[in-house]
Amino acid sequence: MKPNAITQRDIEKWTRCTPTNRPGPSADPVEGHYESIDLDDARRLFDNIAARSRLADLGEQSSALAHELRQPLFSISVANENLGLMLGRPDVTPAQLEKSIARIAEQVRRAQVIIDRTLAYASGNGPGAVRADVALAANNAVEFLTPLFDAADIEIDIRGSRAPAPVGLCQVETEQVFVNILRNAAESIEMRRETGWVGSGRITIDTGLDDGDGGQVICAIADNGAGIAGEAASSVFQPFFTTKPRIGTGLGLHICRRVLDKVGGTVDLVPGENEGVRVEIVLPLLA
Amino acid sequence: MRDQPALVLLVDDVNAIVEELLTFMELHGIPAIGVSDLDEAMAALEANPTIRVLACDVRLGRESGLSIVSRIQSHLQLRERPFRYLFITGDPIRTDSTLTMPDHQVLTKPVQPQVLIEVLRNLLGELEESTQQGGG
Repeated sequence: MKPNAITQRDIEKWTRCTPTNRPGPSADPVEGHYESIDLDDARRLFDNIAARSRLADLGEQSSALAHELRQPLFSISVANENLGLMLGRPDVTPAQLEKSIARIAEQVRRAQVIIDRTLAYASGNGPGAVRADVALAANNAVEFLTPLFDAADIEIDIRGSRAPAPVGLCQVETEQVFVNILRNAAESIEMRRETGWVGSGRITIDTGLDDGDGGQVICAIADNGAGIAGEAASSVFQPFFTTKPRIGTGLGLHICRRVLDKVGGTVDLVPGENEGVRVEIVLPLLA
Repeated sequence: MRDQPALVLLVDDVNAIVEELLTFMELHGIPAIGVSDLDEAMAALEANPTIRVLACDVRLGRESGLSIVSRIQSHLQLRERPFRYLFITGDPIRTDSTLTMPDHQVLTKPVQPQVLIEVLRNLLGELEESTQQGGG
């Protein structure tokens, strides 16, 4: 079994620990239905499933990452060859040699940034403090998925406030929220194209600060993909709900809601009138 | 070398790759110029009638480098010139079924520099031979 595989046992445990709207013998009409829950167990299980979901993201990104790493490797390879050729020539100046050496160093750093960013996302080891910047998380998620967007010819439009918007979550889990939502948006655009649509794929991220009532950050991520029917739209935050059973875990949006729940945040999905969906996130700002 | 008329047009949206490959070709005595997108490539082809080989990255931001073929085919003057095509890619190539591709070569990044120079020399040599045969 793959280390990031989600097992039937996980599903059963997770379903026991997750509030649903199903009626049951101990159903609470307001809070939803719970069986006996050990909160520490539930938290560990959530962290475990979130980590596996990040690894699944990484698996899906692997070919794009390979593409991204090939660019600096190619530059390094040619710069190294150039150095070897120039060393044997009397007409070459030290400045020309230094330029190639600097190029190699620069491209090694670039490859290192790609690797560090990827490993940090996969391991969940971002900056340890429970304080995240929403605008930075959105930008980092876009950067992580840029190879996917480029390959799928999807334009990303980041609008609104770039001011720091600190919230009480870890940076990596906040990035995971955006990665999950953005990946869904990209897949929805690809699904629309599979029906013969030839328009330009577009995802808009619009972030704003609301200073009233303690302050909150509001972020809307809208796409022009296939959209989702009203009935399915109400189920997207349920665990293991997926419109793409071949590739999806069905946990992406559920994880988003659980992460945001921890600090009193919300996430909602609004189907577009003619196309796409808009996912709205609201998070309280840290004082 | 950079004063000599260019024989090769290099198209890649990564500036570091363009710079290093131009230096590399110069060190091997192949005059070349580099650009970063297809609009610049078309302008460079119009301005440099000596260019005979196109070495083109396949993923150029949101453009496909493969579409240089259709742009040349629909250009009244450029379609008469006998270009040789080399595509350089970091991914498996997905060709557009509506696009008629001329003979071309494909190399996968990171390309071995010696392989690249050999392919370029072959492409320039093939064109030289076909020109001589055509001329008599």
